[in-house]
Amino acid sequence: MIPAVLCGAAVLLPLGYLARRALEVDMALVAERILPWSTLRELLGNTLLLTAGVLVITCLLALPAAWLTTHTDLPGRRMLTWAAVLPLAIPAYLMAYTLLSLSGDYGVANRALGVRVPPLRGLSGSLIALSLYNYPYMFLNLRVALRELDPALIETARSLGHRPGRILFSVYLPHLKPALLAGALLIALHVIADFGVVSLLRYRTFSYEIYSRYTSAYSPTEAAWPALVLVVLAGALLLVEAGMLRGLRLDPTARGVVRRRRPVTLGLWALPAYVYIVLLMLASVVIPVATILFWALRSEFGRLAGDLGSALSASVRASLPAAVLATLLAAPIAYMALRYRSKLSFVLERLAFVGYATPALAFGLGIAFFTLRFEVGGEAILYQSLTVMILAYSLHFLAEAVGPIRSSLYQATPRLEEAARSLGAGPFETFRRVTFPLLRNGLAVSTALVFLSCMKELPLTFMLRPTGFDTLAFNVWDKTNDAAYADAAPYAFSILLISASFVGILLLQGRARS
Amino acid sequence: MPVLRVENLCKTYAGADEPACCDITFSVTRGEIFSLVGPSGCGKTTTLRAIAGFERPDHGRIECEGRVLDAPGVHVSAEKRGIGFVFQDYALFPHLNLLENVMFGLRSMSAQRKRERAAEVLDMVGLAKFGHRRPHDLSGGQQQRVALARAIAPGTKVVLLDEPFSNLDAELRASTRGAIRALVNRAHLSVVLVTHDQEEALSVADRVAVMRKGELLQMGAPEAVYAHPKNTFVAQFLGRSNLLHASARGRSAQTAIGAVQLDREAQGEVIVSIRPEHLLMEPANGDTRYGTIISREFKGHDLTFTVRQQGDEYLVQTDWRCPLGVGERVRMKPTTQAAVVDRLPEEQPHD
Repeated sequence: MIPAVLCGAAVLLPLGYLARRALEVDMALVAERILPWSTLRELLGNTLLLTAGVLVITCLLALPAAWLTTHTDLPGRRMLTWAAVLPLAIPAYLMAYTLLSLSGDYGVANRALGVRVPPLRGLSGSLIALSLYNYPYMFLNLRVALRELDPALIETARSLGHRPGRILFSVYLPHLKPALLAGALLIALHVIADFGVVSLLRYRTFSYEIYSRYTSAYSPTEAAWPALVLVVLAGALLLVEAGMLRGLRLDPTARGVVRRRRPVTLGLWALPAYVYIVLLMLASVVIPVATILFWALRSEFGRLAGDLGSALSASVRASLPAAVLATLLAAPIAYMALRYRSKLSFVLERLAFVGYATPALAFGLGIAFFTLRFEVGGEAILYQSLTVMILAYSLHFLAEAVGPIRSSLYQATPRLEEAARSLGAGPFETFRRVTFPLLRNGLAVSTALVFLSCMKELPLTFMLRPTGFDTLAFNVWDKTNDAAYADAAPYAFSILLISASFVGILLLQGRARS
Repeated sequence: MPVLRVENLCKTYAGADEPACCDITFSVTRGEIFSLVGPSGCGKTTTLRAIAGFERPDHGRIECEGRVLDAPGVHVSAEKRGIGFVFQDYALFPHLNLLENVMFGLRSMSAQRKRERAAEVLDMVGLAKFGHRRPHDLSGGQQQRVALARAIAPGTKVVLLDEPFSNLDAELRASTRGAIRALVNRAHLSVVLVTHDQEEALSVADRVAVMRKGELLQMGAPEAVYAHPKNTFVAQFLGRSNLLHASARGRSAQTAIGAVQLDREAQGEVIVSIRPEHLLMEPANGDTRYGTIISREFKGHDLTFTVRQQGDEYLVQTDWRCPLGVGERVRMKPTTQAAVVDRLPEEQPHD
């Protein structure tokens, strides 16, 4: 109860400071210089254009993959399912790194293969990088919805005279709407909050604007306005999605017996399906990994080894406590939300998601403002302190920790605890022998997920890191920003390795449980 | 000498207007299967959970094997009661295999002895070979038998079963009934089971208690409660029933279908219950009082007719060979005594 309320306060406090800092300025000055209409229009236009573009591309990439793995007899569709999720292990800024170091006159493509790819920057580059990173989220959502689609609905449509082409619009798309919306919301939140890609590829969105104002002029107050608009934009996205989902119930109306689906026989169509998959894998996994390897082999490992070690240590020192803290905070929130259903517990659980939905750059800026104000003996002791960065990490990724604990709590029902009691086990023994063993997996998965996310985290690190505290992710970004691709490669490669090993652990655990 | 005694049990949940159960009193003897039956929300599960110690009663007293478990100022927690509980969803521990599940409640004996005891009890329910399987690998019926074995393994003598038949298909229900009965005999158990299915209650229990809206309405041997319901609710809940207005004088009464014998003395306007299988039909050869058959349902083992007489409809159940058909005029005659039933506030005789 108390930790949950503290979490809620800690998420909202920085946002309050952000708003306060922004509203301190004279409104006339805001309209004239800080955020004039022409600037606002350009930022808003660019941000929305990028978001819409990424949404369209991710849908187009994910829908065929989701359909092929759920509704067809394509050989190797299980492998394909895993493969389609792999890009999640490659952070978007590594995609940006790939594009930058691949294209142009000095790019890998020209040097290794003699193919000159025009420089991929700005909108086109951002679209590619963010779409390739984000499409697995859409894929996962669509896959679940497609798997649950009752085959009888399609058969009913056919018996009523709908041709396959029409069924796509009459049955599939309406049924997929909730999944599409959920996926779209998640991706849209990622895109508007993205910092790594737009800052490296120089595409002027709100995040880019916050970043450039924060660094170049070092005028934090001027950065507060675009940050505030960005937070409002994220809030608007949440509201729009909630409005569109209201009253939409697509679970089966009657619990008849749902028959097993007979998969669509692809026959020779399997060939274009494979071509599609190979191209997708090439673009989203093979090329980024190959590019990073190419540069890593050309980097001066000897010179970098020491720095690499300290960067790795910095990342772990920040991520490990953050992961443990997030899990500790998430456990009571998930427990309350499930066991003591009330308005309050519902609101608190939502608050955990507010931390996730708040664009990280704006969140970080709010925290920076707060820590600058918080003085002890005339010194802002919290400003750029490791403790605050760890706290920010765990609040931002709290939602990731709630999910797995929640689902393992579904397993540990009150019935099981009562069964233990009726068999003579007291409250403590019940927790030790029944509740904890059932929660253990969920706690481990939560910790692992948050740890992984923190290791890759960039915007919060950028805003809050103590001076000289250069994590792996920060090094990649910093060196790529200076076009030192070879120097960035060992750091990028380390992140790849860590991500891949964690995804591997999660997959193994998932298999062990099923 | 009763093994379990429940007296004046009352429980009102926080925030609820009506008590979940109110003034419940009954006792269960050694080797007896006692069934609480009633529609959902009647308080039967609350009563069961109070006996187990999961809910604390507001009033009343619960005793088991001479120990006071609940009384004013006394509440023994669930883990100290030594009463077994089998949940509707079985609640097997998913992280333990079957042997470990059954061993869970065994204490103060060596690990070796625990293993032996668990194997012995698993054998009792016919699952000796499955000890190393996980609960997920079992069918619903098997899971239930494990839950039962787990509940009795510590030597428990009183076992509570919450809706033991609800998640089973028809065939398994029959074998589960048999299994419960066999265990009761073999381990000298006393069982309280809760069900909303009156057929299950009547067929498995030595005694049934019918509950409605937190109240225990009638209790007794299944045959007695079925044949002599005391009120309209019990009459209709335990099976199909024709409720007739009657004017009684002593042990007999006049009704729309003629004179009937009554199961107890009554005077004046009363309502009587006659089961469809206790009515006989004959062709109405020139009788002035007759009804017309308006539907005929063949059910395999019997036939059910609906007869309309003077605006009221009656159900009549006959042998499957009955030659009568829709549209024929018939006279109805009771073959046994009719039960005099009290009218409960919300219950109206519809016939």
